[in-house]
Amino acid sequence: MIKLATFRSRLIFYILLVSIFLSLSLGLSFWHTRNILLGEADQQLQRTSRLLDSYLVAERLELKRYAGIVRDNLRIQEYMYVVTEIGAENAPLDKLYQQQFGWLPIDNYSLIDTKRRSISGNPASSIISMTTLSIEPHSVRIQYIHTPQGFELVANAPVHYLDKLIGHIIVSRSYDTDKLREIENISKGRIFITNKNIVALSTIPSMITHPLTDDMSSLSFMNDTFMLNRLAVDDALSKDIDFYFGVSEHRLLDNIEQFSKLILFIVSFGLIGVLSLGILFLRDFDKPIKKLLSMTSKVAKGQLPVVSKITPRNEIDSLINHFSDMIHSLREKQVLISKAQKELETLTITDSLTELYNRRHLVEVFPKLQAQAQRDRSPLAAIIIDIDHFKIINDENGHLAGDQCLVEFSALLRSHSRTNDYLFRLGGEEFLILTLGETTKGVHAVAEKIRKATEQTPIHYRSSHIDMTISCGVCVEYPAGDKEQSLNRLLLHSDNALYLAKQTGRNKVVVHLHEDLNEPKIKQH
Amino acid sequence: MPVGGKQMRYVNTIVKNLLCIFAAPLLMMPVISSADNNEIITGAGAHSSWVILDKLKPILEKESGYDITLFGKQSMLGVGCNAGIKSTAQSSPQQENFGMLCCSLHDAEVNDKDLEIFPLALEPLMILRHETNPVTNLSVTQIKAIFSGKITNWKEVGGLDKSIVVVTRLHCKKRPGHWKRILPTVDEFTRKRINVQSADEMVKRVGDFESSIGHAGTAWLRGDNSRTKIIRVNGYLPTGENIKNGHYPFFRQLSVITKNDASPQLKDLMHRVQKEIINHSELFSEHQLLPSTSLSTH
Repeated sequence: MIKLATFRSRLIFYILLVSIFLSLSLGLSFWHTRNILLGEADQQLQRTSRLLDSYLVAERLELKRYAGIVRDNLRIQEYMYVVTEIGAENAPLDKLYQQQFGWLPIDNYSLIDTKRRSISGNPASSIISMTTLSIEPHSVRIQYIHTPQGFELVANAPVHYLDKLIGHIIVSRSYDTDKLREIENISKGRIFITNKNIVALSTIPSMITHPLTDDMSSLSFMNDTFMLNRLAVDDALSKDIDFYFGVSEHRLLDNIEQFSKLILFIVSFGLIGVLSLGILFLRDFDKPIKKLLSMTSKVAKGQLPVVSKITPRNEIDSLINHFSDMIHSLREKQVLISKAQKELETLTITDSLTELYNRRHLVEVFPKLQAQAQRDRSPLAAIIIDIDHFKIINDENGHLAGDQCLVEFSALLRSHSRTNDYLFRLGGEEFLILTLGETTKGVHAVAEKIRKATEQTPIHYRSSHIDMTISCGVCVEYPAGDKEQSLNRLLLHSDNALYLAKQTGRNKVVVHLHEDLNEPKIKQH
Repeated sequence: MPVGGKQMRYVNTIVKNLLCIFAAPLLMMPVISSADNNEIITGAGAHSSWVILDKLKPILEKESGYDITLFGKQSMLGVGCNAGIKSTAQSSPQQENFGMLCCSLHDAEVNDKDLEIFPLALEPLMILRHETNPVTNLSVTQIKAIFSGKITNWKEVGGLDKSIVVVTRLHCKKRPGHWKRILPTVDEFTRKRINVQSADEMVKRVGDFESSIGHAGTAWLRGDNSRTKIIRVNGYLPTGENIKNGHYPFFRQLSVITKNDASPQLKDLMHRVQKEIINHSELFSEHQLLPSTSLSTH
């Protein structure tokens, strides 16, 4: 079972279905029409044959009528009599015929005497000699003859004058390729005139002398085959001459091929149309939906992508714009939340009075410092500072003054420490400075600088000056092992040094010296 | 099926309208006739006699007060002597007609049809040839021999070696004179001939065949385009004068006829025609006619 999970895949599937449906419909239509065409071709052959039969019969009747008209003309009879019986010149007969019947739509005419001698007219002698003359009064005989010059439809009628046969009128129409072409123009097929079943006249010259098939139903020639239908020509009119109407199978196939091309064109055009519609549909729906999906996916992952607003042209554009507004709103909220979170974090790791890091942050930050020291193979130094006699300051000046001392000392620490130093208030009047990469000497110098600055900087509280000193315990170590133990050891050693500073008179810096560093265990200054 | 009242009124209206349409001209006719106070007399028949009557018509109308209507110009088939006789027979006191003939009548026919003949003139019969035929003169014997078929080639009478095409117009077969002055009966004419029905056809046939011979009255106008010429007979041309002095043997009598019981006015008119011919010498010079007053010699 095909899973059409996406709008795009469904759309493509539907387009595919429509395309298949279109192709199948037109394919069936083509097949059905092809059969109709084949059937129609056969019927057309029959119909056209009947039409041509009528045409040929009408032509015969027409020619017969013309022969009768000439025969019944009294002056023609009279003049023929004068020429044939009296022996007068035939020029007046020629002139009379032209005056009276020159308009007749025939190709040849001849007025002959009873001995078949032409006394007027223009036909070939072969026409006169091959024509079977009618002798019955008032009769007209019509026949097809095949002369060396071609085929002729001949009508002849006996001419009587004073009840005596004086000659015949012969009128004829020639059948040449032009004539056949004229008939073919109304039939959309081919006309073949055969003599003893051999093509004797055709508009395709190379077909002349070509024989018909034994059953006379077709005529194969080169690569083409003509389906034939014999036209009604009475044997009495011509014994050996037949007229056939033929339709080229090639032509029929050409028609079908043309039709198939038309169908193919329609299919192609239809498919292009369907695909274009699909592409337009995809462009209008799929692309925006995909964009929306991508955005919602990012939002779901916690991202807030930048979505530019667009000029809304449809509902999806409006949806994107609303979504953009929503993301913008979320982004603003997120900024507020981040700010609040940061403030909260700051609150949790700093001392609210001095704004220095508190002991909690020491626990958090120490592993990072240790890892960095280990990576850099540099020592980690700790300076523990304790304000001397802070209890006395509190007692003498009050807690607010004590707090003021703590605040101002913190500021002093900040001003005398380096940017990569970490400053902590461990509790009460005890502070810690952690720094990386410093030698014992350098750390001691820092501590000493702070001590001197504190000593030289009295605290102003209200109208009184409070002098303040500090004691510092310094320890520089290469941290190793467990982080907590390492921190405790560093603090312990620093605290020991501080204790020693306190014990030895305060307002001094004592450095804890390690034995493995070949330094004095406790160095006093 | 009986016609309803409405339908009957409708039919009556139509009948009344039709009566108005057709009756109005009829009612107006006497008014028109009485306006010029003339009676109409109609003459019909042969062309040759028509030529005379047509020429005299203005004088006759002026003197008699009749309106004379003539039918016969270039009379062809159906409008000839027979038509003139038929028209005369239909004459009535209300509408009098007279006939114009180109031939004489037998007494029996005159009596049977109760006619009165008013001879006008003798008209010579031309013997016609094709204009290219070199033979210009024939004797009566030669002419008779040609028309009878005894002579069949012009070379026998001094012409070219061509078969003679005899063209005849053997009309009014039961009446005397006319073509019978050439050969008295039809059977005496050669069977190898063509017989035409009018003078017009005669002139055309003779003009068509170079070796033809035919005959026609001199009053027939052959026209400038005719390809025929006249053959002298015994050296004489067909003229009234030659008939009168007996040199020219082929002619026919032109006459007018009325019913025997025709009005005296009509008969007077016919007499007037007979007398008036003399005063029109152009008829003799143009058509070579011989007035009836000279008939005593024939």
